[in-house]
Amino acid sequence: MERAMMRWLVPLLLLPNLAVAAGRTPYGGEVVAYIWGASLSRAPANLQTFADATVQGALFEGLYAIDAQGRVVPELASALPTISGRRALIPLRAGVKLHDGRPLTASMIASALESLAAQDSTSKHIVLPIEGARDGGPLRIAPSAQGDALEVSLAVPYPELARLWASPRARIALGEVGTGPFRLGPEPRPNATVLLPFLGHRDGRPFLDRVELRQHASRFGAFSIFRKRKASLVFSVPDTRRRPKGLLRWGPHPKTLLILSIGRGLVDRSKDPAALRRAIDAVLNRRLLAQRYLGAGARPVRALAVKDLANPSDSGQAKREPLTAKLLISKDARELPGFAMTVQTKLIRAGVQATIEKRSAQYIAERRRTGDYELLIDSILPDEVSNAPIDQLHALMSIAAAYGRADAISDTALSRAADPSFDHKAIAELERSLRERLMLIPIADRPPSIAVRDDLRRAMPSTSGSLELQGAYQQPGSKK
Amino acid sequence: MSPSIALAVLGLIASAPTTPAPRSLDQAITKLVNALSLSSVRGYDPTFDTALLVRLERTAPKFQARAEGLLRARLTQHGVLGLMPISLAQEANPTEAATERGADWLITVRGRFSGQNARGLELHAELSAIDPGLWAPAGPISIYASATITQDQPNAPPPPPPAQASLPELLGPPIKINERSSSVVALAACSLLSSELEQLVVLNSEALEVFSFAQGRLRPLARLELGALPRSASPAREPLGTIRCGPDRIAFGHSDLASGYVLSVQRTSSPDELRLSVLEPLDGLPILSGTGGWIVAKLEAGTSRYGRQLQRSTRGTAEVITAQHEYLELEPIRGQPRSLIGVTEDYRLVRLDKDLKVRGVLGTSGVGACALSRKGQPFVLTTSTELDAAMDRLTILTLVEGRRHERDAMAIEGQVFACATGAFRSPGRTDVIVAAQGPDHSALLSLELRWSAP
Repeated sequence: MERAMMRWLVPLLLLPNLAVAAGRTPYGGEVVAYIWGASLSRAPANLQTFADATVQGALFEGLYAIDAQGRVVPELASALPTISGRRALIPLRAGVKLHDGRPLTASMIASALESLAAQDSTSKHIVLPIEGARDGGPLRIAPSAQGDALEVSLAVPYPELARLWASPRARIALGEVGTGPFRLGPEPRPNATVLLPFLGHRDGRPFLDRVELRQHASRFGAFSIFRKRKASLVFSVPDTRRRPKGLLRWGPHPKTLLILSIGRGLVDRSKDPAALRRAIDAVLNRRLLAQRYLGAGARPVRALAVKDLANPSDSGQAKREPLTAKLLISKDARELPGFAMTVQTKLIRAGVQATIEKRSAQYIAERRRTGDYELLIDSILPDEVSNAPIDQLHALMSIAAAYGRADAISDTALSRAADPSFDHKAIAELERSLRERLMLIPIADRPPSIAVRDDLRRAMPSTSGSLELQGAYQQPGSKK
Repeated sequence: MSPSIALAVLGLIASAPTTPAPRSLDQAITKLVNALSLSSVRGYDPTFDTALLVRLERTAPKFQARAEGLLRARLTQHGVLGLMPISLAQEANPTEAATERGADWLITVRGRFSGQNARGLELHAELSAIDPGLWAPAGPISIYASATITQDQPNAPPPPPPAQASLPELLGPPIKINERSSSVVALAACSLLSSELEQLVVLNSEALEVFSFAQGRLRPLARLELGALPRSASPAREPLGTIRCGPDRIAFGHSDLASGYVLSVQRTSSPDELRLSVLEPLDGLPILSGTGGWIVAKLEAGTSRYGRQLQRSTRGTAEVITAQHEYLELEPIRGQPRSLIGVTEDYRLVRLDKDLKVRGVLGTSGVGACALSRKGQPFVLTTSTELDAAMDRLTILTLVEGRRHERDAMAIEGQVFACATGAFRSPGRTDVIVAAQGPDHSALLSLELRWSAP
């Protein structure tokens, strides 16, 4: 009997998306989701967390997407691009409507992509292969004469343009209006986001009637909601020593990357910044930090990409250089407080006397982009869908863009992507160079901590880091 | 011999016990269990929890009970100690009931009488693994051993009088005859050629196609691309559609399209080709044709359900018909032009008249059901309301004098969303075609419906 019970319980806990459905998927259901930690961002260009990816994936769509088999499929485009040398033609899907009823036009798409090239963009890597991107715009991208396609002039031949534009950061958003299966509803309370079905979506309305995402400030409260199963979804379930039961199983990609970076404020004062970086890299006990403060599932890493390869240690003999610095961390960061204090302690061994300063997520993101800080610990969600060299390149590009340094990926590096010899070794070289130039010290990566209650079915994890809600439904008779 | 001794011997002879009548049911069951050869089944251990399901057709209850008892005794003798009987009468889904009770294996014994004077008992037993373990993915049930024996049962009680409804039999296994990349939402059998055979009309998101059967294969006759037709402003995420046929006409509707359509079907000079052309649009999905017009339905707010307000257009006037339910399916009963079956939003199967009034509750069904009538009696092929390890299940159902008769017919891989019956292959034969939706394609499967002799 116990075995029979386990047979039901275990799949429900581990795989809450078992598709046991009646003849037709039931419509209806109002789902409440809680998010702990960083505030939700609705702008795809500012994607930072898995909750962001989920909400943005519900509201917006890109020209391309990656399907469950890892293939690039057209979404707002009608087919894969035709690329000939440095010219690319992207045919567009006809008849797509925005949430406000307007038809989506090629000009709107071009405009949305143009905004990614702006100076303050942290997703500039999306448009990096386009001519004009390195100069901050305007991009050489324009609607075709018939308005049914986009004509793009590339800075270098880039056959993987569609795969780059399958990034969740490339989703087309016109303010908060998109073409996704859900639209924004009125906010019932501050810090709550409501998603309602978009009846005009080309695939038909989603099955859920309403999804409300609420921000939760308290770690204890969020954990209690998760443990008592008081909400259908909980994002960023607080870490515990052991990975709590009931979390959604995730594949190897993507994962958030925790990075300690050295900003201009310290680089300019250091006599030997490269040595300083190596010294700090050497003193960090990544295993301790990952296991003790980041919870089960976190993994110590030394590299930004190709993490499974044995990367040579950056440490070496380095003279300690006594310095003082402010260590910036987000006050919403889940790794507070022990993590930052342990890092602070370790930094002393590298000669750096750091004081911790907690700031808002927006402040941190801005400082990260401009480089105007001394030391910074932040979580980045790279565009990493697989271990394939091209996807690892896109992951590095997204990390560079997050630190305001998309230009660190040269046209030469981009053009190598088209080369048959482009392999993990080439990626490892690029990764090392990026780490040194941008003064980045990766510490750990970790999978999302998302809990899905068993009343919410078919909320499928995707390679872009989002939970796909368009096919999800609520079991009839479930309570909110 | 003295007379007194002779009398004593006669008395002894008279009082000697007679040989008991041959225990042929016991023998049959012993033979069957021996033939299963459980001890040699790889992977099976008699100490595993094993469910026992006995299904003897058209037998007296006492005979069934006797057979069950003997089976339990013989299996116990073979070392099967953890035996749990499953009662058919109490369980809608015996396999599910068995796994819920923790059984790892299932022994199913089926039997029926046949032969002269219906005294030959055919018994068939199967040993299947129903619980591969916690960490193994669920999949189709694996049969590990089977055995069949036939034995005369001279002492068997006469079978009960036949049910008034003689249910047909669905002969399988289902054979895949075609595959479509997009979901097939409707199937219909239409008589479009001047022959005794019917043609299969298939509707999916891309096209409406007409096929004939030739040498067991589908041969395309016509195709109408739907891509150029105006799209619906609010399509359904799980599409649905209808096909209705008339003389040289096909009416159809698809939830992706803004309108339904009536097509004219014209023969060409080639016998392997038909031409389809749009005659007129319809203001919804065609449900039933009537005098001079159609009853059409629209979807409820972009969902996969028909709205309650249907429209009947007759000679230029439109009349609103309010249905009692938001139906998931509305299908005509072949052979009864003014009757329909409907699947309600809570999966009840109902019979409707031409005004869409409910005239009886038949049972339950998932979507993809279809119905036909024979000698005035409607028979419905129903589907499951729940998926069982990605398998659907067809059941034949009819109602006679208020009593429901069901026969569990066939397991189908995938989810059945459409079904059609017709004389596709030969005039006297009833074929069933079902469209079963898999992860990324829709398979068309063919079965035969065989009627028992009158």
